[in-house]
Amino acid sequence: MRDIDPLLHSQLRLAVVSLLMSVDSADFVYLKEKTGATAGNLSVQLDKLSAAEYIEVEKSFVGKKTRTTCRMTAYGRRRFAEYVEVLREYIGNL
Amino acid sequence: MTGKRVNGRNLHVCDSHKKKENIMEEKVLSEKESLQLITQMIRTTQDGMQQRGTEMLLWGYLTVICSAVVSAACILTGNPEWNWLWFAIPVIGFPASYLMCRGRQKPVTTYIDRVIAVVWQVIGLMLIGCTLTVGFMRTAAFMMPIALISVAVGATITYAVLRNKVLAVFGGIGIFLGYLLFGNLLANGGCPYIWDVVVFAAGFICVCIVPGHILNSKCRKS
Repeated sequence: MRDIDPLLHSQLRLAVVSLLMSVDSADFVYLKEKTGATAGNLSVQLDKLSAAEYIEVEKSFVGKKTRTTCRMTAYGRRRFAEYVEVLREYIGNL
Repeated sequence: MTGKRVNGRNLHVCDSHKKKENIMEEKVLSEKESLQLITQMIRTTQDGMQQRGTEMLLWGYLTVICSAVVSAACILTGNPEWNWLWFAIPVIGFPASYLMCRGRQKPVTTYIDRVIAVVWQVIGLMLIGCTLTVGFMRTAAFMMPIALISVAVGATITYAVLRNKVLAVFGGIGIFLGYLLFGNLLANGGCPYIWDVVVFAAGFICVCIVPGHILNSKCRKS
C-alpha cells in the first residue's frame, strides 16, 4: 500500500489545498476566513506548500495594501489527486 | 480572546492558548476526517458565489442613453454628424469598466469567473477592432447590429455558464433583435431609420439592463 503524503495529511494544509482545488485562485484573507486559522500559522503553512511547489503564491499591491494570491500548481493538483486515491485505498481496506 | 470555528469545532484564541491552537491546526487527521475536511472545504467555496450585474448595467445604460441622444439630436437638427456621438460608448465604457474591475478585487476567483472574463476580453477586443474599422470606413450603421449581436452572444454565454436559463433567454432575444436589425439595414441599403435605433436600444435593455438588475438583486439577497 502506498504511503500517505505527509505534507497534505495535516488539518490546515489539507483545508487550504482543498479550497484551492475548487477555485482558480484565492487571496490570503479568504483562506484565513474559510479555514479559521491565525494569520501567522496560515502564512507558515502556505510557505511549506509553496516550497514543495504544491501552490504558487503571488504578492501584488492593491492601492497601498499588499495582496497575497494563491493558486494550485499542476504538480500540486497531481499530488492532491494521488492523496485522495491513497485515502480511498486506506478506507477500502478498513 | 476571540472565538474561531475550524472544521466544526470551536477554537478559543488567546495568548496562553495560541500554542494549543497551532497544535490543533497541525493535527494529523484520520483518513475519514481527511475526506470529510476535503468535502467541507469544497462545499465552502460554493457559498456566496454570485455574479454581479453592475458592469452589464454600465454598458446597457450607456448604450441606451447614447442611442436616445444620437436619435434625438439627428431628428431635431437633421445633421448626421451627430452619429459621431456613438463613439462615446467605447470612449466612456472601456475606461469605466476597467476602473470598476480594478476597484473591486474579488477575494476568490473561480473557474467560472475566468471563463467569463476571457469571453468578455475577446468580445471587447473584437468590438474595439470593429469600432476602428467603422471609423475608417465611415459606415457607422452596421456597427449597431455587430455590437448588439456580439454583446448578446457574450451575455448569453455568461448567463448559460452561470446556469441561469431566464437570463440566457434574454440574451437569445438580444441575438434575435441583432439579426433583425442586420436584415433591416441590409434591406434599407445600410441607411438606418429611427426604428433601427429603437430596436438597438431594446436589444441592450434585454441583454444588459434587465439581467444586470436581476443579477444585482440576487447578489444582494445572497
